Amino acid sequence: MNQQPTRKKPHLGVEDRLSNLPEPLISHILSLMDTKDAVQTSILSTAWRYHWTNIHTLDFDYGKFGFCNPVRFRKFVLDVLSRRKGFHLHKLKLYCSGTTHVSMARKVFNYAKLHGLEHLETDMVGKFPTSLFDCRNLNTLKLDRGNWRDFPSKPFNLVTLTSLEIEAFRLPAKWNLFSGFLNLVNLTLIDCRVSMVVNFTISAPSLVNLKISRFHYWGKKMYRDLKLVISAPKLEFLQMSLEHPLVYPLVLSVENCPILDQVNIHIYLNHCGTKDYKKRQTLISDAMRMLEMLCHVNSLALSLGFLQGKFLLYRNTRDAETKFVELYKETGEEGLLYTLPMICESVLNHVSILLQELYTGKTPIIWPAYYKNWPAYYKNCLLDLLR
Amino acid sequence: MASSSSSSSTQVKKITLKAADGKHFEVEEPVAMEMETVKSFFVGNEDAMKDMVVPLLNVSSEHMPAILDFYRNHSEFRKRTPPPPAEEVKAFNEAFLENKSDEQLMEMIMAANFLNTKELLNFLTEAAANRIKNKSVEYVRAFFGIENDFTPEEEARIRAENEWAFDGLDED
Repeated sequence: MNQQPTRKKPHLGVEDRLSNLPEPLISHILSLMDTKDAVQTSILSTAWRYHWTNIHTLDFDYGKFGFCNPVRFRKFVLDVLSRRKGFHLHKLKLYCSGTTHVSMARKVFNYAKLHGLEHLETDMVGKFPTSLFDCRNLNTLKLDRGNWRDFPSKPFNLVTLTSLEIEAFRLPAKWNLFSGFLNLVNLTLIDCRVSMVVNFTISAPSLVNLKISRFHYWGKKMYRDLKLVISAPKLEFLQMSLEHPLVYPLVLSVENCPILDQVNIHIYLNHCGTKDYKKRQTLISDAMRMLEMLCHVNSLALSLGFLQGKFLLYRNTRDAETKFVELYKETGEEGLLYTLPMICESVLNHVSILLQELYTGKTPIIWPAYYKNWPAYYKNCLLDLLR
Repeated sequence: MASSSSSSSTQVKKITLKAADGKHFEVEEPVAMEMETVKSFFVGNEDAMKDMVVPLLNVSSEHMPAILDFYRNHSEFRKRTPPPPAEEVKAFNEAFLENKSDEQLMEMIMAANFLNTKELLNFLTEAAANRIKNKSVEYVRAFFGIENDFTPEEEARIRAENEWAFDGLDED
């Protein structure tokens, strides 16, 4: 026995602290690691030899697999599947980084399906394994690096799904993509492209949180009138991160979202050519149109990121004043530029005019009467920033 | 949630908890109720509130202040609207772990397990996993004081059995 007089240990032996944990806790800790790391613990001691076989999460990532070749990776994955004992599989991450492992992926997905998989994250989305479509317990699905393949146009049958995140997919136009996900609460679309279409509809009966980043067109030609229609009776939170010039123009319709409570829109113009005033003007008016649609929302924020700085137009509750602030990069603090009454159509018109004037750099600026008490200092600062 | 909304802000009900080594801790009721083990002690037994001391057999007094601090802060985070920025929660969590040795971490995991609080347990097990991630077998063994009771032949056999897992591993 090894004794340390300085510290009291009323309930734990000194040796092998980790092994003193109850088995479920050990396998839980091992489940939080990369599966390769978990398997390595079999060599720690006889007591540890089989702990890893009870892990409830499998995390296979070719990118993190060291210098091994795809064949070894494949062998490792299949070896783990055949040796794992725990019945229930909670979570599976399978990232193959572009190495083609279609038959292996099929085996892994089949195994997962048989073991009641609930949570799947993968980049193996090339040939959609049909076994995925009827995982009866799946509640979270994350599909990464779609390389703008077509999102399967055959409707999924995943009624249990509550969270879906897809990255870099081409979304088919004519089919109402998400209406089949009856219990979907969280939807995240990253870098998805829409084919030639005028209205793109996101309709999901249980959707509460919707996040969209870099939503844009398929192909080079931009259609002026792309309209994103969100029809979700339970939607409360909407976040959109849009990057110029890929994003615009975009018109948003949230008429069928009666309890929408919080909306955050980020528009980044960092790549925007400084001389392209017309584009900027269009962008501003689109942003304002978006805000107009959102006047009924409780908490509303529009942030505009320029190369030189970031501005934020926001209010926290429906009755609160709207603040127009500059965000300082260094300190992260807000510098209040102006306070507006509630966002409503007329105020938005003023803001829109103001921003467009600032953009185009037209001088002299005809400031709406509304802004007559805006300190000249701020006007000049804004102008400098935007030029 | 069963945390009773006692609006009498002047006098917050306290519950006395007794750590494994006999030391007493006076804890505000809502904080104490974060622990399922304590909560179940009082279920259907309202009179017990007043003067009963709840024995916590698996929690050493050394860890009580930190554990209570975690409950207080995280329940405050949960109540706040709008929710606190992720950085604030992260900063608290990092500070919480900063001076904890691996041994203390393990003891706290046992404590959280005994207290039956999912949030703390998830947080601590995650921290433990992070500490042994990407470490070589020999390193993990030394780190946690696990005695290698394999014969060299056995060890070689197990390595061969799980060959692919040990591929490319540092041998220090």
